[in-house]
Order: sequence, then C-alpha cells, then structure tokens
Amino acid sequence: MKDHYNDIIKKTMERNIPFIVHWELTHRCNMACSHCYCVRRDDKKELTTEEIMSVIDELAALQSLYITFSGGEILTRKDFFTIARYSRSKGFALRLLTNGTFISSEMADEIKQLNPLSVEMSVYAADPEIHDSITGTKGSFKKTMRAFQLLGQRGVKRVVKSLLMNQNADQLGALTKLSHELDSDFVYDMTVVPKDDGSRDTLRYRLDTDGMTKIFREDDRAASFEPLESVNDDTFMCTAGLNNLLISPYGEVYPCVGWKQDAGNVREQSIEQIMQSGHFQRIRSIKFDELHTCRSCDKAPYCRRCPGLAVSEDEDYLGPSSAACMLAKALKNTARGTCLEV
Amino acid sequence: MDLNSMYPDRSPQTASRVIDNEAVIISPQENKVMVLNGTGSRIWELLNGDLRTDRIALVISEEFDVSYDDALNDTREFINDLYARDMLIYLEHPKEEALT
Repeated sequence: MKDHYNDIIKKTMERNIPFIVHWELTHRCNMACSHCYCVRRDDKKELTTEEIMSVIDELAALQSLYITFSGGEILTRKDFFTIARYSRSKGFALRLLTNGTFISSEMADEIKQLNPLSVEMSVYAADPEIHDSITGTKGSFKKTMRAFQLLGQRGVKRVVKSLLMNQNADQLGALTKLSHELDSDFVYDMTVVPKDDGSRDTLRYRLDTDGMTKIFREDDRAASFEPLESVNDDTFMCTAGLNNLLISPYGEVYPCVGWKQDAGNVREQSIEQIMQSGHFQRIRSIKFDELHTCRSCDKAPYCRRCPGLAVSEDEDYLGPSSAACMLAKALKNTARGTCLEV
Repeated sequence: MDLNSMYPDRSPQTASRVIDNEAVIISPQENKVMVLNGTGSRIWELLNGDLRTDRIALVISEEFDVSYDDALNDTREFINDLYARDMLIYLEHPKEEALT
C-alpha cells in the first residue's frame, strides 16, 4: 500500500500535478502573534467566493487532492464554510490551520461535517500567560483550549502545532504533556521566518544554535535522526513547484509556502499555465551541485535546506539558508552527542 | 432493503482522485489513504450513483475480459467492503433521475 502511494506521489511530481495545495485564504486575523510572517495588504483585494470556487474546480480537474486552508485566521472569512464544503464536494481532503478562538459548538458541528484530515491549532505554551503574550491576545489560550475540547468531543482529529522560540523554548516538555492530555498529535518547528514584506523584525525571536541543540536533545526523535549517507546531484531537495503550490489571499501563486516569489495570479492565468512558467521551471530544474556553498558543506547530510528561506532571508536561492544552517548544526550536535558547534 | 436494486455512489465523506487508472482514496473512518488496483479503481470510477451493481459488473466483465458471473461476484464483494468502511452510500433512485 505504502509503495503504491509513493508511486502515485512520484507520478504527481514527474507530471507537476499540484497534488498538495496550501491556500492562505486571508491575512486578516484576530490575534497579533509576535513572529507572524503574514502582512495584511489592504491595497489588494482578496479572492471572492466565486473566484475561489472557480480555482477549486480547476484544481479538481488537475487532480489535486489535498488542500490546507490557512491564514491569517481562516474563520475571519464569513464564507469559509461555503468554500470548505464546496472543496469537499469536489473530492478534496482538507487540513485546517486555525487559532481556534472563534470555534463555537455550532462551528465545531460544521467542522465535524467537513470530516477534515486534521484541524491544526497553534499553541505556544502550556502556560496561558506565555501563550497569550506570544499571541498578543489576552484570553486566547483559554479559547483555543475550548476549541480542542469541542472538536475532541466530536471526534475530529486535532493537532497541537507550535513554534519554539526564545520566549517559549522551555515549553517542549509541557506542550508534549498538554497534547497527550488533549489526546492530540503534537508537531513543532523552530523556523522563525522573515515577514512577507521582507522585514526581519521577527528573526529576533529565533533560537540560536545553542538553543536549538537544547531542544533537539530534549526530543528523542532528534537523537535518533539518521543523516543521509551521501549528498550528490541526485539528492532530492524539495517539492516546491513539483507537486505543490501556495495560493495567496489575493490570488498570487507561489511554488510553496516558504518561497514567496509569485509566478502569476489566478485572476489572470490558469494554474496549469502558472506551473509551466519560467519561475516554476527554473525551481524544478535546480540540482544539488548548483548550490555553491552547500554542496561542499559537512552538515549537508543533516540539512533540511529551504530554498525559499534562502531567498527571503539570505537573498540567494542557490546559497545557504541561515535558518537551515543553524538547524543542521543543532541536529548534527544532537545526533552525534558531541560538544556543541556554534 | 435490497441493496442490489439500489444505486451505489461514492460517499461525500471520502476524498479521492484517479491518477493513471489508480484511485487514491482517503477513507472517512480513519482518514487513511488507500490505493486501489486497476479493477478496483475502475469500479470506484463507476460508483457514480447512476449504475446498479449488476450494471457495473457488466462493464467490468467487458473491459477486463472476465465472465459476467465472476465480475458480479467480485464487484459485489468489493462494493460490500467499501460500504462496510463507509466509503459509499446507496441511493434509491439514480442521480441523473434526481437532477431531471
């Protein structure tokens, strides 16, 4: 079964079928998270319900299967459930990313009806004060916990989704425990990214290599990480533009959520045309040997380099990504169990 | 309720696509991914709420060059399995008829 599924995934990459779509429906949000990369653009018009439905039709015809709806906060869109129900009627599997604070009993019933693969809600700490200070919204922890409860009562799969930063680096154990108590999965990341407008203000919240190493040492999964045996021109780098893409609230299409250089707009071109654009073609053609610094880096087997982040933070899509370098160093430190390399 | 006289249709709770004659389906019960073989994928495509099981079996018999009786048995067994997994529903009347 798994091999067959991997074969399908391989086919979607070879044929550039946008099998996995990440869709930022809005950049409006009721919270003010310190590290958020979204920049609301009041000078641009969000896609209308009809425009979104038309793109959903096109994606269904292209054999897309997965859509992750995110924001901003998806539930600030009054037409969210119209969009989500329409997507389900067209055979899509949905993941929903939300802060959960708007979810009432009635809304939880509607979400249950959608039968999403998962509802992933941001939780930054098991301590309400730390969480609320990161979200910039007093009472947000309590509301998010209520959403976990309401969806849990209805058997909806929930995920505690966290970003570990300077403000909450000591929360890994507590968040793991909280997710067990909530009977939810737990995923975390440490990659704080620049804002969509290029501002780097958010980067001050990012952990340094020492901090990341400490996190990895707390996490059993990191200790058992197995580096790649070798890296060469055949090394698979990333799926950006191969079988996934990102659609912005304003209709811009990007190769993935991490690579915010648009290749076209659904208001002017079809998804198929955009996926055949020069930008997407170039991204798909990048080979490991073109990475001028990474190709000879001793941390390459540990590295999960994001070319999009290399562009947004370091302005060179063929160069190293500072964030990936830090994570690779931390992972190498952890996997070896040796002294810190900082 | 005689299911054989009804019209099986893919459950709206499933998510699926057919790529190169292989159906990828996400089951509603556990949200698990299934990949069907060629015959199963063709049956999946034919589960459109307009064809009864015997009619689907006729198509399978013709397209896959098997006897009608074998096709009917296999199709019934497969459809029953999908029904047990909540992956299909039965309609009393064909969908096309409901639209007219």
